Amino acid sequence: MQKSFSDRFDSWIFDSFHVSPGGLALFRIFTALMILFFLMPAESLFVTLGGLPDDFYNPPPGPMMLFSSFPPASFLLGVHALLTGSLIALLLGFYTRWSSLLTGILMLVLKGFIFSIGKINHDLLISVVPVIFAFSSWGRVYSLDSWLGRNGETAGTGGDSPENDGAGTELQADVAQAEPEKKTEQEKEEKTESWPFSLLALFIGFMFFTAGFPKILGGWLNLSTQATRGHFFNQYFPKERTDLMAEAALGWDSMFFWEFLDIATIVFEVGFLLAIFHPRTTRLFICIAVVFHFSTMMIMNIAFLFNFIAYAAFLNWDWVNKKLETLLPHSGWYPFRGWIWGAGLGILFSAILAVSSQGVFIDQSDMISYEVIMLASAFVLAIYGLLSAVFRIGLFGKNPAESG
Amino acid sequence: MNRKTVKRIFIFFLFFLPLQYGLIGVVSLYHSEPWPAFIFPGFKNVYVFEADTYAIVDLEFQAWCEETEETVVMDPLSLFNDIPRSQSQGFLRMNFRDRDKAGGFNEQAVNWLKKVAENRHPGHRFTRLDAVWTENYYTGPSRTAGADSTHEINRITIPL
Repeated sequence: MQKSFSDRFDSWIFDSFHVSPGGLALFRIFTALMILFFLMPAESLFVTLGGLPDDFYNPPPGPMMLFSSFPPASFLLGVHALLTGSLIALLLGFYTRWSSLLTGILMLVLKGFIFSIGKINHDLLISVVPVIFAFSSWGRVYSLDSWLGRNGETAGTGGDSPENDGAGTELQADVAQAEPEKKTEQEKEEKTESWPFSLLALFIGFMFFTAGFPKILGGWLNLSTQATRGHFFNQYFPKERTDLMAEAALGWDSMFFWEFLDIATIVFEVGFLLAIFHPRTTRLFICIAVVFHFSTMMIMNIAFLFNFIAYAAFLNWDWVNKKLETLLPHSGWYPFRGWIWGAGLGILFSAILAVSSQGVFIDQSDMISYEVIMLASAFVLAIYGLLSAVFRIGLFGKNPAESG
Repeated sequence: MNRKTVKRIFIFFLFFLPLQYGLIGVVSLYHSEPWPAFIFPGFKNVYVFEADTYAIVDLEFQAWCEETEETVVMDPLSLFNDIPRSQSQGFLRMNFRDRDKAGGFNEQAVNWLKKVAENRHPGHRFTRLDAVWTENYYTGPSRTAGADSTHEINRITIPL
């Protein structure tokens, strides 16, 4: 029987992506650590901002216009410290919903002042991810909330199935029953909020569309203009972004190559908006986005690591969780799996920072070595993802509840 | 959050996203781009001047030292090296492209600029700072060596 539009709409929102609380919790830990290790604005920048004259305060139209100058460095450093605290709470799953919201809001506040220098960096997704996943179930397990029995903090509604409409407290009621531990684990695994993934996909798809559409108006599809090459020159000469493959690209004279990049960029960016309505094409386009960012980094030395926590949401976190279960099979290990995952990531990220401090790969440009390492790793994963999305296996494979 | 609320959130965003995009287009015509907004950068420019020639706008600062009667040329990335490079183009555009804005800097801003310039070049006492905007043309194979011609398009003088 043919589904009605309303059924299809519901199915897209609620059934496109299914991730267990365990998988979501691993994503939460990954997100918090990614921001803490790599994506926090540098403290030294706030000292610079605090010392800038009032005449250099150029807020973009919006809420930052409520201020007339940069606040003192001590204020910005205080917000930075609060953000660090909320990220640690998010990492540990402590008051997870509130710490998620606070993380997004504080990040917005800091970014608002940074962008009042006169340039917006379009990294909104770093604030959006914690805010929308505050309403998922990413703090329900592997968290202090769960350990303290405060599941109501992150339980959400269990809203994936129609019969759970608005029944957010069912889980808490079950917890209080006899043999709570065993039943809780089972219940926890069953009910999750998956709509934040669809909402995030909508945001990403729309935002890519807004990147592609002006290019069409600007003349990128005109065969006599190779706009990508023009942008490459604009990065190479005035901004001195000359590392990695930039110097080699300076000598690439093939008109067909540069025109192909112009057309492929528009097809990818505009096409993303259509891709989001199907989970497998969403994942496919996420992989292409990683390849796109990687090639932009190699040629133009622009590493846009901020977006990668949003892209990472579409990894098959249940697959990672299952692997963790295989490694730590005993039920006694259950609460510790998250901590072990976090510790493992922490060690890996520390190692990357240690390598990065040697300044490898970078000579002239403003990139940081760890950005190159992270994007190169993501590129390898994306190539694997493109293959596994096609063959429906492994890290990007089909989830049990995936409708497509 | 129940399913009805979630559906309402989605319906809201399905209308809001294109609306805010249209609004951004209108506001950007008269002012800079609004923030926060659900958009990625458009990079609309093609930079093509004519066949096989790319025109890239650049900026350099020229500081005049009266005592030594010397003009010191400064690269903006080095002069303002505390500003992140990803922000620097916006910082330079917003502050040094418009004659009214740069010519009308208050005493605090002028003193700050003087201090920054003199810190980068110790021993100099600068009395004037020129922001010189140029359009650089990159043509044919010789472009690998840099711009093959340059045209000054704007010069803004800031007395220090």
